[in-house]
Amino acid sequence: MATQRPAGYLLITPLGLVLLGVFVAPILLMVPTSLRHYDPGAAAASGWTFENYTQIVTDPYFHGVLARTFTMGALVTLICLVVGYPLAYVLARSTGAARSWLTLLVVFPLLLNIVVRSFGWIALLANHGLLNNALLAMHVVDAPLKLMFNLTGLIIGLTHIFLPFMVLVLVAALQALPRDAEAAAATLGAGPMKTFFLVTLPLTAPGMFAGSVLVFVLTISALVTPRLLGGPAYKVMATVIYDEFLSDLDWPSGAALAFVLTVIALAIVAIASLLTKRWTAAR
Amino acid sequence: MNDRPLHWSLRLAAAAAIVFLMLPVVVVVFASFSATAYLTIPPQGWTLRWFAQALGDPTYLTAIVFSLELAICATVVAVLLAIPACYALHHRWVPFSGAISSFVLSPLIFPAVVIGVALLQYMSALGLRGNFVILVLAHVVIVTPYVVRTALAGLAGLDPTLEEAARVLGANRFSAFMLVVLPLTRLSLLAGFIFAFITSFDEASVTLFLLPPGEATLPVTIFSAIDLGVDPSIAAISTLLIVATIVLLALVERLGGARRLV
Amino acid sequence: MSELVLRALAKSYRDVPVVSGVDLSVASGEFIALLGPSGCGKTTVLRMIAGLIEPSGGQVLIDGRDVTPLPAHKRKLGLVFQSYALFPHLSVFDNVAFGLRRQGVRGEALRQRVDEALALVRLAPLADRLPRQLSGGQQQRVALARSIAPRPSILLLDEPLSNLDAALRDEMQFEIKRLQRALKITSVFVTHDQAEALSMSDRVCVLDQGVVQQVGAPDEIYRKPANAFVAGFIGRSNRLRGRVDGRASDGTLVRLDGGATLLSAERRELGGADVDVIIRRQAVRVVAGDRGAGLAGTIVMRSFSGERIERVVRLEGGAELIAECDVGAHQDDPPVGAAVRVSIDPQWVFLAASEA
Repeated sequence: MATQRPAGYLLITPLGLVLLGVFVAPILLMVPTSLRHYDPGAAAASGWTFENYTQIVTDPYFHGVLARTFTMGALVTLICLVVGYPLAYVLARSTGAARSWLTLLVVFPLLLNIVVRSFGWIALLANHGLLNNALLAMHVVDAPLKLMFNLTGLIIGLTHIFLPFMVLVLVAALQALPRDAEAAAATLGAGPMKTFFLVTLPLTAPGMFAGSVLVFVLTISALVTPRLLGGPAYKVMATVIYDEFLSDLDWPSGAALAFVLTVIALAIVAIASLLTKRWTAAR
Repeated sequence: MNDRPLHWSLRLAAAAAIVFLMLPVVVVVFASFSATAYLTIPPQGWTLRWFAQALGDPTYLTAIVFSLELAICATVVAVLLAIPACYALHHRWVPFSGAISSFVLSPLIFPAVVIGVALLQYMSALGLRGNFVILVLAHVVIVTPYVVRTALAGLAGLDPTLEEAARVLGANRFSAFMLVVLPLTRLSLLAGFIFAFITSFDEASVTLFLLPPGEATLPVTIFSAIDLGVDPSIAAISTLLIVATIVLLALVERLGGARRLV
Repeated sequence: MSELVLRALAKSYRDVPVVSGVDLSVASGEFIALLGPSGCGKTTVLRMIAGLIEPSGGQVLIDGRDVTPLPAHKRKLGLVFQSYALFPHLSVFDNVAFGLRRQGVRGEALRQRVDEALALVRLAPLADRLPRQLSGGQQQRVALARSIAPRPSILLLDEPLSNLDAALRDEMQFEIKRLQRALKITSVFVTHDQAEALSMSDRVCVLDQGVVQQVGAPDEIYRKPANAFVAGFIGRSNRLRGRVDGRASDGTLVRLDGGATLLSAERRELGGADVDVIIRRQAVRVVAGDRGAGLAGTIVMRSFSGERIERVVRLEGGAELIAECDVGAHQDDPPVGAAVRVSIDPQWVFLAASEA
């Protein structure tokens, strides 16, 4: 029944045009900008150069930025995985009202403003935040714990943002598990721990992989949370791009970095789906 | 396994995760009522003055209005563009429907900051910096995947013979869509609409780069305010946002829609 | 009421033919069944008539006019789906009114036509219900009413009775036939149930793997199957292998693998000596005792299904035949293990060249 029709093109063209014009074209147009010299005064000057790209590879400043970005990505992904798995498991196995409530509680933060969420963490963990005030008042510590405007606060904030994504992907993977697989393992004498490691974990590995890829890519692209919670010292790719475009006005450099970020993100997704296809084909 | 209760450690871990997820929300709400500008446990007193201050502040009010305008425009345009496209994709009227669907959904994982700077550059080159239409279209790009996802899911869940029956009874494709497909998928579409609206309203990463001079959306305003220091009126505005989000989420759930995201 | 002609109708999906060269003429007011096993292409043919599937080749003509290029909503046909496809968000009334509204019928005229249709299927009091509040049989009747309300010239039915239980199915067979007779509407009825096809239709078109095997009145299909497929598909039969063993004045002798020799009324020249032998179960008569005319055999199994008695008889030489008779028939009923004599009416022994 899948015959193609000319009307189909008509229906899809408006959306296609908007996406091409407002999404694809601007990104492609970044390439010429990134190949220009930086000319303070004008946003970009004449003449072509690769220096914006080479500096990313040679300049230790950029090495630091990239290292910090990927470190942040890896840490957040790992923590989301570890914290998210039990929650996903409980959600996947729940039914009825409990399931509805849990789902809502997981989905709600997703819909909440990123800025508001980040603000919440600041209010909680800053030097004059709720936690430190309480600890000081109870004389548990003498000086405020530095939990904000550094890597720690950033990791906590980012984990909070991306945990629901991980949980939802894991829930889907867990639900796809044949329900009898675990029962079968039990009848064969495997205790709960063994069952988990030998049956559940391997079977949900593709889901874990997919969730990790998603969270990693989203984390390395994050702008608002690193800007608010990492403090001015903790520069990652997205915040550097922001500064270069809006403060330094070094558009060529910013464009090059943005392009690199794009390529990295797309490459990760592409490789991940290739790997996933190969694994599922192998089954 | 289906009936065996879960180990207590598992439930504890899950509960801890939920507490973690709710923590900043609780803190924000807490801070918005706190009588002192510093947050303490136990709280020094309760007050509503931060709400009064926030709501009386013209910066916040204009920001709310601007955000609403932007979100409504973006969501309506997104829905108008996405629904016909989803219909064509669902019926596979164009080749490579799968690839096109993936492309349409790609803004979900695409670095938002890149979209923002690319458009900034683009608009400058065209002399359209700060143009509202481009800002709306940028939001459309970001928000469309949410509509597309729920619309495609809704269409897929519909019995194909229903549309066929309508056609045999004399309804052309458009009538069949309006009289049969739309009423039966409206819950999915509504859920997509609401998620798209919320996403547009909350959007900051792209919006930061594209704002018309002198205008700001609410998230960007809060963002700038935080840069200046923690102030309980930020908490008050945030609480209002939290309440609004809860109301919308409850609405979606009531319509049976929250499940559609999972 | 309209005349329907299918000319060389064909459909392939990615070079795999699903329907090949179907030619069929349905006279005005005729009730014809498209009969065949699952996957034979009968539903595809129906959907091509309706305009829901675009043919790869051939034409559909209604009253001499080529409607093949016409989209489904312009063909003015009625179609009853296997799953009924009632609009769940509309009441029974609105479901039935749907086609009429598309035709522009409104107000009092609309109400009258809907009531008329509902009265024909005897569902008038349920007009305000929603489909989910109805039983399977009631939903089916609403589907029927909905499809005839716009007074189409041709009615198509896609296995409408498959989802009903046996008793309801029998009742609905009568209902549909009665309706069709009253309205004199040309009807094409798709089914895999040969008893249903034979009992309801004026003519039957048997399909297998997308090709028409035979078209004819039920009687003819039953008594004179055109080939081994039709012979085996219609009625309940035994399927055995054998070799032609000479001709007789009134038919052909065939020797079954396993030894026994039968007479078949088949007079046609068969391609080779190896043949498929199809024997209708009802034609196998069992007489108790081990003397007398007929083939010698032993009862190996016996079962009673309320209306019929079925017996498996092993003949000398090893071949096994299933014999069926109605409970009321005057036949011996020897127990399992008894020696019997089996006589087979040659009229019901069909031969076809083996395709091995």
